[in-house]
Amino acid sequence: MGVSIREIERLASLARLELGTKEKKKFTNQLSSILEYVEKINELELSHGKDVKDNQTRARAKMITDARLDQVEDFNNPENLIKQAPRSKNNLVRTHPVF
Amino acid sequence: MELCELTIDEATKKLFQKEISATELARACLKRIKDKDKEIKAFLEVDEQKLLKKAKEADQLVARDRQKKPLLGIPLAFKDNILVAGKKVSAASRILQDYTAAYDATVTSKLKSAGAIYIGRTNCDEFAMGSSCENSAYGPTHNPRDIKRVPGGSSGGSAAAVAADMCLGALGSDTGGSVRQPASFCGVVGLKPTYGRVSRHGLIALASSFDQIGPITKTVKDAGILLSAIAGKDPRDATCGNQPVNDYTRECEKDIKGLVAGVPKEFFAAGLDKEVSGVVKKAISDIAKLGVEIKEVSLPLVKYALPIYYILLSAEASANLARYDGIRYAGIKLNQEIDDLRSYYQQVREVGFGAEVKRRILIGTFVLSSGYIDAYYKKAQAVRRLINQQFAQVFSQVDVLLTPTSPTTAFKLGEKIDDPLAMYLSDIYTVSANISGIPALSLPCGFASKMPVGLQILGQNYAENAILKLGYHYEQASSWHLKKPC
Repeated sequence: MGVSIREIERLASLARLELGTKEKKKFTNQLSSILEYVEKINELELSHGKDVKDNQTRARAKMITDARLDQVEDFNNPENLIKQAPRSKNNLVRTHPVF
Repeated sequence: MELCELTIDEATKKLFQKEISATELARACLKRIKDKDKEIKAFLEVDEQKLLKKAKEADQLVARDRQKKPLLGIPLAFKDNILVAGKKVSAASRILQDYTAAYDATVTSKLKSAGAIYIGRTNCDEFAMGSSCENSAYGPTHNPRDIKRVPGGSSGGSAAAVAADMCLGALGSDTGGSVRQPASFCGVVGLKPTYGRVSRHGLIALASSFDQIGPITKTVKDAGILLSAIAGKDPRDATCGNQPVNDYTRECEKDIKGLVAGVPKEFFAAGLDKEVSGVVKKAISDIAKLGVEIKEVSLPLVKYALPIYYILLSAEASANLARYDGIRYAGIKLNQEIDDLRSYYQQVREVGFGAEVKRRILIGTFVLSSGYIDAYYKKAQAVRRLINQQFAQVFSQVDVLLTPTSPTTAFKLGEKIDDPLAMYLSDIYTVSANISGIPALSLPCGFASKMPVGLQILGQNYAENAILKLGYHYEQASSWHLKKPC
């Protein structure tokens, strides 16, 4: 499947990437080849989504049985993590205004 | 023989018997790094002061305390995506260039408790995305066997450091072959444990359903020693299994007579270099002489392994790398002030990520996006399950599988960097183990045009004992591990 430059721009926007013009062109060509290769999986006929559903049901069942109890635990050094951020204030990570 | 050329097994024995000191061993590794690393560039950072300090402490420990630390005084290198508290870790990316780890990875704290000493962090492909170590933001690593060639990737720095005896062993991470393929290219041993055998807590995530930390060592027994030290249940990693951890060193020496090895015909088809094929087939016939029954088997669905790998890996990577927003972790500083949040994200990520990372994020975003998710991501998940079922069926007939690790030996620097698809095809034999979660070992089995060839041994889930013992017996009979580059 070929992708267009517009598609690359849409994907870049979703992924919060700002690509240059040369980059957009390069990625358009490269992604088209890569997607053409991975489309090989369409050679396989699967039974009307049953395999997909089975997969999801099993994954969900496993997550429920392996989950720990929903109990609050103390975390002993939040400051150590907060100071990893480039900007912080009053033990909070600082960000640009969202609105 | 220089002390840095010892294996972990040899060095621990000499250290316990006080034939050598940890300080002498550390100095020997540092000298080798000074002599060779300007050319090879395996390390991004070497902590000489800390290494010598810890080595001195190890030498001063009384006998009673030494016995509790099976890796006392052993210098190990860590791939630049495994957290060591207080040390810089960047995933070989500019977006994390100023990030200092706030905590030890579980594997780090286990190795520290066992007495091992951190020597430094090794170069890798950025965020572990690559098969050549050319995608690092800090320049490529060179293969110690031939510096015009790649060491493989993404754990190229770790493999090169071990091959050049700059350390006694190293940790890498394997998502699609990133421990095994560089081990194969550099002529050393690389092990990808079963998914869930080793905790991923403190490993910078690439693809959470594929990633595993694994040892890169000079011998199979050394891989077993490190695996015993790092494996086990971890409450901080919900995907970690609670199977008991064997003494993998003892397991290596157990008898292999009666073991049944399958040779999947699909791994010897078009695309495999003729010379590499000949070397691997010779290794298989040598294994047969050790009393192992060889059977031809078939895994027809493996032809879909690489396509589904790149769909699922990219999807998971695009999700995992969304956290690198310039807000949470110290990294790249922009030249201009940006007030708008969205523009800030876009700029930081544009400047902070390299081309391969952006490429995979774009693929991942595509396969998860509305209109395409069913045809790509969900279908790939279903095919993944079919491949796993096929492996399970084959393992009802055989104990292990034998294949080449890579279709070629180490290629030249720059040869594949402009052709991403050609680069991806380097992983064609390794990705199946990550897709199915099964353990896989790569070890040297000869040379093709003077470059090392790796034999891959795959086993059932949690059957590292089987692949290690077969690897060990073949290694001892063949002695390829003694053919050193430096």
